[in-house]
Amino acid sequence: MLEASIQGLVNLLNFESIIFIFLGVTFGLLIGFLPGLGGPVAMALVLPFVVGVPPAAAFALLLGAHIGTIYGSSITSILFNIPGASKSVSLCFDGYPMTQKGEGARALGASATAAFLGGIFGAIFLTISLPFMRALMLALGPAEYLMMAVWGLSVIATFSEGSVIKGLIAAGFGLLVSFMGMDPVTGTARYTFGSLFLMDGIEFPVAVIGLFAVSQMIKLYVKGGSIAKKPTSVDGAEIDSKLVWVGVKDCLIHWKLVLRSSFLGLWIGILPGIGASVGGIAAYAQAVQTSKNPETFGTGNVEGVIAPEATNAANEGGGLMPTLGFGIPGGEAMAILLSAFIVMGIQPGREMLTTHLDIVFTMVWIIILANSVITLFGLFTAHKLANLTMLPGNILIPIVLSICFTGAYAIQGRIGDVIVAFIFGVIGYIMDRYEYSRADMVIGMVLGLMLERYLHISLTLYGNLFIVTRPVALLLFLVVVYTLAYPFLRKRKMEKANAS
Amino acid sequence: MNNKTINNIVAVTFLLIFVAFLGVSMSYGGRTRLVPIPIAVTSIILVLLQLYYQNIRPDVKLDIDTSDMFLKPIERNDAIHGQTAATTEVIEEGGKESTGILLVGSFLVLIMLVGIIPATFLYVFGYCRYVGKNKSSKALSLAVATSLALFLLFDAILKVNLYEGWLLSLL
Repeated sequence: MLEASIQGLVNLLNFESIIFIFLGVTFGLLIGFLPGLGGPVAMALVLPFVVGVPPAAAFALLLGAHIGTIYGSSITSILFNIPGASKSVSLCFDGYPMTQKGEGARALGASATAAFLGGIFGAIFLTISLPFMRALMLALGPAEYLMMAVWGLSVIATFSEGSVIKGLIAAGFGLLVSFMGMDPVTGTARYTFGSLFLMDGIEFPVAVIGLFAVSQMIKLYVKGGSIAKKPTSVDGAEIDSKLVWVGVKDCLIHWKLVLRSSFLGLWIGILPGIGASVGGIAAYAQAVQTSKNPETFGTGNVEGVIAPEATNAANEGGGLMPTLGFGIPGGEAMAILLSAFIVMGIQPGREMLTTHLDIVFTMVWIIILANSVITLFGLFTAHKLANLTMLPGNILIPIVLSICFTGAYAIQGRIGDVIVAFIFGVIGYIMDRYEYSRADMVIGMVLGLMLERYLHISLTLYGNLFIVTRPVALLLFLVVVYTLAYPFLRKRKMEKANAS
Repeated sequence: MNNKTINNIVAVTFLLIFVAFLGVSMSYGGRTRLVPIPIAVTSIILVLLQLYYQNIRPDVKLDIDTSDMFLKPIERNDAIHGQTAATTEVIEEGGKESTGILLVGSFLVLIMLVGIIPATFLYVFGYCRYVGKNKSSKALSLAVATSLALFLLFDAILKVNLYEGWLLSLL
């Protein structure tokens, strides 16, 4: 294992690979900053450039671009409340309130550091856990993935900001919207009302652009002014750039949270599809559960930024496991990585986790190095980026709307998507105005089809009593019950504390 | 119209949407509606609960813990979920909600008529100049910079064929 790890690093130590990491990350950051585009787009665009290039350099470019988009998406989540990907949604919960308080630079500093530490811890845990991962992946099937999706929804019920009922209503709305289009199980067109446009359903990035970006700009117009005011003084001195290092210090103070989140991110990351969506939310939930000040979450608690970011960073390493070990891509980005393997003549499978382990570790090292580059970028540009939020709304609004609508169009080249983005923008504004959580709706949209697909497969393969007959599914079901019971247990604990 | 009335309207709108989903789902086959129907029914129940708490039990705070839905809430000084932003913020220099939505809608119409890049130029200039009350030179430079950046990024680099507009397609 150690030899494979060292060989993996040696594969990377050449000029071409290092340059490609920088190029990939830079390109990824730019793409991640644009709403609607994301990791798959960035990787798809650089894919033609990996032909004829040595594998290490090729993976450096691809993974660097993917990692870059994740942090680019984190920046927009924190500064503008616009998540570029589902895994960045949880960063909005506390990152944006921090920006509104004038602590955007601190949030970005914490985010960059958490990404770096999360990547490293994730790699260390991955190395240690590798022998167990294969057994775990073999033990997990559709029933277990279904339970993970249900768990993701139960976390909404427990940790929804504001009214729980409204959060669940928003999640239900998101679930139903996700069912629009062709049913993947039966091939029936659902809720399309005869429209060819709706046959493909509502594109997730388009809905996110509308729900967060467009609605945010309407809100900014109504509120007036800018997103954030000049940051309040920290320790008596108004120095914006110092806020970045306060964020770094926050990560070091909360090192246990970073460790836990990285471990969580790694293990959730090995679940194909589910990992990317649920990881950030799960991390946020465990941060709330373990915090000394849970009541401050949602108002700008830096722990609410550290946990999801560390999880997202560690998630990538975990996501490599099903992709390389079984040829099952963990998401769209991993699917593109798989196609790169085919182009380079590398066959994913059992050998990747045994005889070709050095290739796996090359990619793990790429993730660490890419996160390092991003951290440097984040730390040295955070205070400049945070200044964007102090631009007057009457300048920011038309520019952001232009980028958003262009991004919405660019996804599939359909003007209908721009109209959908506008409609969801109005819906998002009303939801935010009357405290129906948009984040819960987005989570519902992400998990809806997954939930349905795995339910049908589970019923077909294992029968109606699959929860009982599958031990791991039963265990996860009990975790769901515990998550739902947690508020009651916490309440009893508080009552006892009040009584004493 | 007071806040409570509008809250009720929003809740009833959600109710109608869920009822519509339920109604349409009834026409689908068994497997097709296996998941949507329970979700629609659950959502309807939740909205009815929401309307109940809003109107019949207004004394109960709506940002409550899950346990508070079934147990008597205990006095506490700090909310478990943290405070959400106040729904009525002090409006400093902002405008009306309807105007805000109209402004965004007008951009959409402009895009559909003349295409993305020309619409971006016109909208950014118009917004900065007439809504933002900026100087013409500043508005013009922002408009040029934005539309040029979008063109270079999407058309030149990403090779996306940007929408040209309905009016241009007539020519």
